[in-house]
Amino acid sequence: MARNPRKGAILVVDDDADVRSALRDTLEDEGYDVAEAAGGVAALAYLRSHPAPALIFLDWNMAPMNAPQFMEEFSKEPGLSQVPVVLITADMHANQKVKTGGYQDFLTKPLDLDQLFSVISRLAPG
Amino acid sequence: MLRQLEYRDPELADNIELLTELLRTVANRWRFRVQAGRLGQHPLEEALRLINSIEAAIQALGGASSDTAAQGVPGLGSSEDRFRQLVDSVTDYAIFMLSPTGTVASWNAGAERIKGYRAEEIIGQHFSIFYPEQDVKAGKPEGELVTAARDGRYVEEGWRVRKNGEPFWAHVTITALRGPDGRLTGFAKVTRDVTELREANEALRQSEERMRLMVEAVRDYAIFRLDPDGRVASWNVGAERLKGYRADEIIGQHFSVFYPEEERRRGHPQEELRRAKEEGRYEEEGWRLRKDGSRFWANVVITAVFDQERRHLGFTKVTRDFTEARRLREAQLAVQLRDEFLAIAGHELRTPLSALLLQVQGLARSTRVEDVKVKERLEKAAASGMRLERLIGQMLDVSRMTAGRLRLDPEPTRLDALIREVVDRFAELAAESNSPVTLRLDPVSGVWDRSRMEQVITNLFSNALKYGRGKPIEIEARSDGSDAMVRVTDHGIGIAAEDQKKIFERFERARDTREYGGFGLGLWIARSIVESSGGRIAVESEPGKGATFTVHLPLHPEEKDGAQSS
Repeated sequence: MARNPRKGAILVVDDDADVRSALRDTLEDEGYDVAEAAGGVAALAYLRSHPAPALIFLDWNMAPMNAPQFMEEFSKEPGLSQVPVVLITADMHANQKVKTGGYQDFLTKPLDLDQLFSVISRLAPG
Repeated sequence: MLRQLEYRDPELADNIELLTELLRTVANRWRFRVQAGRLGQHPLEEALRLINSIEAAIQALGGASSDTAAQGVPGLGSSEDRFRQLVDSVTDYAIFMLSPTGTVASWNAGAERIKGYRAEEIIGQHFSIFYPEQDVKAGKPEGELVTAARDGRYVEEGWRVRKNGEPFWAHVTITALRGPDGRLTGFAKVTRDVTELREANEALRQSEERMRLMVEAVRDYAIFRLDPDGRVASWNVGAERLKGYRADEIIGQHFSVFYPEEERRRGHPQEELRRAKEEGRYEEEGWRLRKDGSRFWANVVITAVFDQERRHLGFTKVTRDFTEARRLREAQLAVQLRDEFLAIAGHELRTPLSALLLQVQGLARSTRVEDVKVKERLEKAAASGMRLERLIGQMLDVSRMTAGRLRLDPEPTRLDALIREVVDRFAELAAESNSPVTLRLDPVSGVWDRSRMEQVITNLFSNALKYGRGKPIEIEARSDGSDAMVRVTDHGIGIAAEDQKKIFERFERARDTREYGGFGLGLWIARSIVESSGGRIAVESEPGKGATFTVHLPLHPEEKDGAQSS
């Protein structure tokens, strides 16, 4: 089923299980491989033990490691500089965060599916 | 002359009496001058003079009392001489002798100082020269001598006149002097200038009276005194109004009647007095009782009152009714808690809603085109979810805005383009509500928070669609140099004049909730954003004919309160 097995999965990082599984269901319906991480720490653990993902969806507000803290660690990881990170946030001023945070793009909550898939096809073309 | 004085009342007694009176008067006079702040230009010199007078008096007194021992010792002189020296040196008191007919027979330094005459110009003159004209006409001076001769002594306070015509308030003692045979030989007259004393007394009396009247008239504060045991000793209008007791029914009662039973039982009233006495002052807030048994929340200040010798005289108690203030504080706290709750609830609701929306939208997307009915219902479910999401967003905005945490990120923005975007986004809804939209947009550029401006336009436009269903809508935008102007006009139900102010308030709407949904927050949010951006929003409307909302915005943000850009 996977559209692009060579490029690896889409990693969904969110501390809310419902949101993670909703994203997983939606993305899998469209044929993507999805991996989940319940936070920044789990995401780093995943990245260190798996092939690089095609894209990371990263929730802004997570405890104990939020998005900026994750990005700081993430940038130190070898071999991941090409992996695009898309920030997911409820903040209508997300623009400002994205400019300096090292993210490739952002999506605001509530997610618009058309936007979601257009970001994927732009940043991780299959 | 002084010999005559001694004849009448030999040896010490009379001298001591006179000196005691002198000293007492000196002390009083100085106390009042100090209290009234009237120390003249050379207070130290005056104090020195006073000390000298006192020393002279003590010497004379000591000399007089040891007169027997000193007798016959050369150089010490007689007590008469010493006393004369004392009288001569006294400058604060006019001490002089009168003949039996009232002519001045001796004169001391004090007499010269107080009355202004030198000895040589006054001795031999009639003493009525010291009296005001009308007293002289009324025969007062002679009358005083008659009284003094009859009773031995005449004492009064009254107006006298100095040589320069200036009146002064005098304390006068006239003592009749008689020879050993009882024949009247003259009078000793002691005059003190007590003008300042009188003025100080009068000022004190007036200020006490003013204070009393003021305290009595205070209506909003209960101000009353307690004796050292805690019994009510005075009562003002405010106390009567606040506590319900009349003065005559409460004075003399112990103040613990103002306290609820449980406070009385644990001895709290006594404890308050103890602390007030120990620390000078005690303040607290607590429940108190009115006469009718009802409770009020009181602010109480008890101050211990001591006299100059630190003797405890009692307490003053000032009680204010803080029931309203307490209610207000509680209400403010409740509002704050509500806003905090809204903020937390908003965030908490948003997360599962976002999962729910994703599931529903994902499901709608992956449903086969043939399953029209399922697809349609999933889309409706998603639309309901989006509406819920917008309401939560509004709730969060309100809690942010009321807490002053509205964040604005101004950036160069084309207002006309923004309006076009919003209208495009609502195209479907506009078509559905059958409202043709006319845009009259000049290019308008400024520096605003783009997302927040979008919110303002969205709120105004969606209101127009909601309340102007089936009627045309016009949106204008133009700039007049320093300001941008946006105007949204509908031709719907309109707003009654009495509602036009209300609609910008929180949770207010002109129409029934059941008829038109929503929190009634849209216009309040719009107003908050516009005002935080330094602008203003207004409405003109006639019921049945529609409404026009006009927003004026400065083209550039000013640094001002409320427009934080943290």
